[in-house]
Amino acid sequence: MDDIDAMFSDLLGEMDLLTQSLGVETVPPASPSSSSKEVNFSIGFTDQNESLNDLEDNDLDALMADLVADLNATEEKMAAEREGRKEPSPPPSGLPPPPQGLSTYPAPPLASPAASESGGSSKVSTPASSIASLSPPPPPQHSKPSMEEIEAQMKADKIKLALEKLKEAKVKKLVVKVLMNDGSAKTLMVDERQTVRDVLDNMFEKTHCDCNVDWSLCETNPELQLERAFEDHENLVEPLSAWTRDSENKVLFQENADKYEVFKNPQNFYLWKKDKTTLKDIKDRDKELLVQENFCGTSIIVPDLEGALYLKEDGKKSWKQRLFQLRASGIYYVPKGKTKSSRDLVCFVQFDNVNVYYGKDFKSKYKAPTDFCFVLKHPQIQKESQYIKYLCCDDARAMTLWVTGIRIAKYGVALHENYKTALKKATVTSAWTNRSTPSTSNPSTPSPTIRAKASNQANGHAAKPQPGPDSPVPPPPPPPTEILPPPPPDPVLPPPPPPLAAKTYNSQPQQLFACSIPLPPPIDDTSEAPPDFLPPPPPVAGFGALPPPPPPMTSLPPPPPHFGGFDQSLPPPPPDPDFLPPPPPPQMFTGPGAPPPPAPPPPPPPAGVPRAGGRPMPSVRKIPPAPPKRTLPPQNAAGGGGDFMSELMKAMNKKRDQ
Amino acid sequence: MAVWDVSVTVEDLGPDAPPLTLSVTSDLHIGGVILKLVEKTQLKHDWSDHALWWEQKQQWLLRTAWTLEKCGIHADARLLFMRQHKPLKLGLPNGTTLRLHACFSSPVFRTVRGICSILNIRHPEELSLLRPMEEKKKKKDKDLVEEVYDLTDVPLTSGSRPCLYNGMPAHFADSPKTEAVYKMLSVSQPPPAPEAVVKLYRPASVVDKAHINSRWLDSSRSLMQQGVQENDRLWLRFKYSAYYDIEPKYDVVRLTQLYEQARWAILLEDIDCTEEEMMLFGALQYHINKVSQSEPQTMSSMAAMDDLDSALQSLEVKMEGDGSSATEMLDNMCAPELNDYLKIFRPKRMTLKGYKQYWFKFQDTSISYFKSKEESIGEPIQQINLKGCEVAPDVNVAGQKFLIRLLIPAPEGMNEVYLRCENEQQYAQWMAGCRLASKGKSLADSRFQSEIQSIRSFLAMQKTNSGSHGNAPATDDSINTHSLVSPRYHKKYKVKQLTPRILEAYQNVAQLSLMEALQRFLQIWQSLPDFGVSFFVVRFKGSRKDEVLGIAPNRLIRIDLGVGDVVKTWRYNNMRQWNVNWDIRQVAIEFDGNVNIAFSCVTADCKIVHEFIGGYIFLSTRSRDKSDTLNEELFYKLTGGHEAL
Repeated sequence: MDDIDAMFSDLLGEMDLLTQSLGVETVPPASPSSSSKEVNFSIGFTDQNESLNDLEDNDLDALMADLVADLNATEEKMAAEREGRKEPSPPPSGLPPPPQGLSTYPAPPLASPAASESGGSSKVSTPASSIASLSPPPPPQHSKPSMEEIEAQMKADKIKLALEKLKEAKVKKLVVKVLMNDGSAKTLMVDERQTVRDVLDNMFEKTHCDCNVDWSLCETNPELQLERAFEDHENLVEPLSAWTRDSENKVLFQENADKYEVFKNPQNFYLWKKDKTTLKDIKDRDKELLVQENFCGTSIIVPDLEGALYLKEDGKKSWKQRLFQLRASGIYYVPKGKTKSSRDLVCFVQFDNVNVYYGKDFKSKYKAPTDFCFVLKHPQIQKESQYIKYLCCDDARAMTLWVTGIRIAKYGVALHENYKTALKKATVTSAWTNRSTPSTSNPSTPSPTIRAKASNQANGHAAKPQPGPDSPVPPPPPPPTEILPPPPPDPVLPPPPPPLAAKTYNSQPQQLFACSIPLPPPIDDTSEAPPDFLPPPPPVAGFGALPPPPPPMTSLPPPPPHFGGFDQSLPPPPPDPDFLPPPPPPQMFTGPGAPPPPAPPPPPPPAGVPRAGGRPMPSVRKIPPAPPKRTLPPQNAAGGGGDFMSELMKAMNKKRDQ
Repeated sequence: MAVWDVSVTVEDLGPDAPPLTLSVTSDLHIGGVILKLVEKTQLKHDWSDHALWWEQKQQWLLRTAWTLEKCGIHADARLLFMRQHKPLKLGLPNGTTLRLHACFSSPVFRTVRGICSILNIRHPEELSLLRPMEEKKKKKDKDLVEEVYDLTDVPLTSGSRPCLYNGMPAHFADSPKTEAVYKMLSVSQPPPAPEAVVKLYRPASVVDKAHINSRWLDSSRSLMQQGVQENDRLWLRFKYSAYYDIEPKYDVVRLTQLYEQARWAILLEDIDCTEEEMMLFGALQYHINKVSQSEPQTMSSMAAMDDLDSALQSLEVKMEGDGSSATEMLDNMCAPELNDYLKIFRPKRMTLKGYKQYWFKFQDTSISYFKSKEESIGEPIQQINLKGCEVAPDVNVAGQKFLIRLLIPAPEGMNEVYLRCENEQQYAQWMAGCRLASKGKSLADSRFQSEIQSIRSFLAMQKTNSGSHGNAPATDDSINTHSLVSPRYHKKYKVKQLTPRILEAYQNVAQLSLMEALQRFLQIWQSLPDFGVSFFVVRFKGSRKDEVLGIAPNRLIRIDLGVGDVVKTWRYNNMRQWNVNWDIRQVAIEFDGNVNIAFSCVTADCKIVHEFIGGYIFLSTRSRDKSDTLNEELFYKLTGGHEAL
């Protein structure tokens, strides 16, 4: 353990010397290859060692696994490329050879479902090229199609592959420190492709909070005294990349009641002109109807806000009142002496290039008439500028109305989708907490979880997203579920890309489902339990209602009966756990875009797989952190610090051997 | 029983033929009368579509089992024996006229259903017929023969959904003539000439708009009963602004016609919008026109294309068909860049210095510049990443000014940078690059070439409009931008000023496919604050002045006629019941909490108002009942009034 920490300090120290950065330090070395200009750095730390110390064991492991995976992936990629360049046509040998020297250990046997699953996930990642270049015709049949066809096909596949790699090569990662309400902080690694939703799920896992829909990630800008909650569909890395190097901005993890208030109490936004008692007494049915009307139609309806706001004049300290109107296309104001008719309105701002922020304490900072201010600015602007638009409302209600209205206009239906996802997540999680608390003694040890992730990543080292729909493989492989494969004996050495695995994987998706679905209950116990497989805990009352493996065709969980036709859009947290949609099936069938519900349990590790390090099997996967494709590590960081990497690997090995 | 005579005019014998006289008894049923009549005419003919029309009572005698006595027919009745389906000239939302057979005997609701099934428009309950505006045909444009599309040969189909053939319903695939009709229905019309738009009637006030609503036909009575004659002209329009379940795959005609109706509503200022919105509508119209002209075939085959796979396949074929070999393509995709001498100017920093020439390199999403081409291997003087920046054109073709204005975000604010290009070609390339880069797309993006093309066609537009008809080969592209906006903007802006504004808005929509563009247009239209409100001038009970009642898909709005302010809104979901007193022609509505309102209608018959309210209630029941069959009975119940009950 010490070794590795030392290694890391060394590594980081060296990097620091190189970059001479101020408080923002480079963690993974920048790759010298295609994306040499991209520097990965961490967010939220003021000091190098702090960031190091902050990384918990598990984080460190994850990071290591990531780095190693990157390295492997790059090597393999290069190997594959070399191979591909040299002999583009012969179909049988079109498979890139297993990366030299890496395939010491055989792939886990395919016998047990878990193993086949892991075979699957490792396969997905193993040179996607192997699938791409080989299929559709399996090797034995290669004589049938004409050479030219094959060649043409292969060329096309290579283009795809190459484009995919180009994309992969640029993946950027940040180590982000997220501040909690209690002043503590969590550190996580965030990949460019991860959405805020993914990161939130990650945080849920780390914090074991109640996972309600209000949890959000916020960015604060102390210099401008601004705050904004990220929307769940945003990618986190992008806005963070806009921060300056000496930025004091922070990422907070907190409950934010405004986040989805418009879906909980739509009347306050869409009927804001009505008096308060009417709004309070509104029936649930009418609320539903409002959401339906405004978010589920062919177009999103923006609340028809209109009112006097104070506008801070460019570069001056004075605030001037104007009559503003919110429309789907932007904020407008009524020019002096004109009517409110649409044709006379003057456009104040459109939302394409700006985000909306809450202003904090503007009364003293800018002499605003009230403290209920909001700001519109380009996300990249971090310092005072004439391009920032400051607006001030009379009261808190008006401010919430406007900020929410602007978000609706800007994000549209994505907001509603986010809410539905968050709601599903919250519902599922509460179900899990409900039923797992009695049976899980130790669900909160983060370490196995992260370990699991690490090994998963190591296993799926070639971080290619699935070939996707454009892959010639006839049945698009189902998204690899978050079932944890038994970690490979040594993350350094990925299993060879077995062509067999590819085939099996593709031909057996149904089986995999069948195997994994009915198992959810037992998992929790296996976390700390020996492999000898405890019987499932007595299910909590409602759980018996879970269907057996769902028929492959149905894509939706059986809707709770009382929601009628609208179940998809508005499942409020059911009052009792009996009506919970069964967690696993949605995951199985909703695809990578869906929220990751609890993973099905990995069965106990096959006995044949050796496990070094004596750690308990990482099998608790209460909440998988992210849809599978996103957990795949990017590759750019690899290759760069070849020396570092080999050193690191050695250290890792050492550690494992202890 | 006494035998008496009844005289029946038979349409098929000609207009001047005398009525036939039949001897009948009162207990003879209508079917028997028809039988006798047919025998007497001695014509061999398919009579299945014929029925008796009772002229004095203005009603059809469709119940053949009823006796004359039960129908109340006596010897003085003048009966007419004629076809139920007659040709009708239908003005479509896209402004064209289509001649087809419509049912004159069934309620208009069902007649519209029949028409829509011929035209392949789903959800016919959203449409209805209205009488056209009285055209002031005083000018001598009689020689100007209006083009009429003819569908009268198409056999009447039953209600079932037509099967597709060749990407269109089978009954359109019969002949080139009908195929042309389908193309007219499913492809949006080219923009109208600005002069033509100016000549058309535009409602100037809310009262004008209210008058338009007085022309809707009664859905529960037949065309014949409402005095519509064979070959009369009627308009087919989307009446209720609640478009249910739009599915581009099945709704090509529906979407296109809806788009046309929306487009005309915008052009004729039927619905108000802001200038920015108008520019966006203009850009979308331009784009839709361009896309639907350039690829009409793919459009129709798009409709037939069932799954993503085949779409992807065709895409692949396209890629391969591009001529260059795959590896070349790959090479091209790896490192596309632009290199050239351009002039740069920073308005903020070096105000005194003018444009300075450097060697520019456009790579990925960044621009870097060097002292000269020779020094371009080393460190650039500056590198500018364009991701997230704003790009605006500043072009004057006549003055050979090709300027790209960039507003580049930085932590400190936005930096202004102008790039000056030498010529059109250079400008189009760099501009296209800047646009893509601002959205985070590199030059490798497949849209780069099409972006260049669209910039060039906009430049061509400016060229032709500024008078120099030199070398503008692409005549399709040179649309007068005035035809994309309402006449208000004809006065406000010259074409020269308007074109760049539309071009600016065009940036954001240029990548959309045809269907996406149509849908985007409709979405923006639907999110306009006044969208979907039908106006009526009414007199509220207890009020002494006329006011405006707006009927929207989900609420009623009371509007002050003078000021135009909303006085009050009532939502349907709070509505307990509504009644019509047909004697004093007053509508009374009760809402939750003992709120009662009553009003009489000034500009339209109260049946129309009643039907609008009932119609929206009817439409809102659709979502719950997903079945494809329309509950026609419920519709009549909700909208029919006393006659239907």
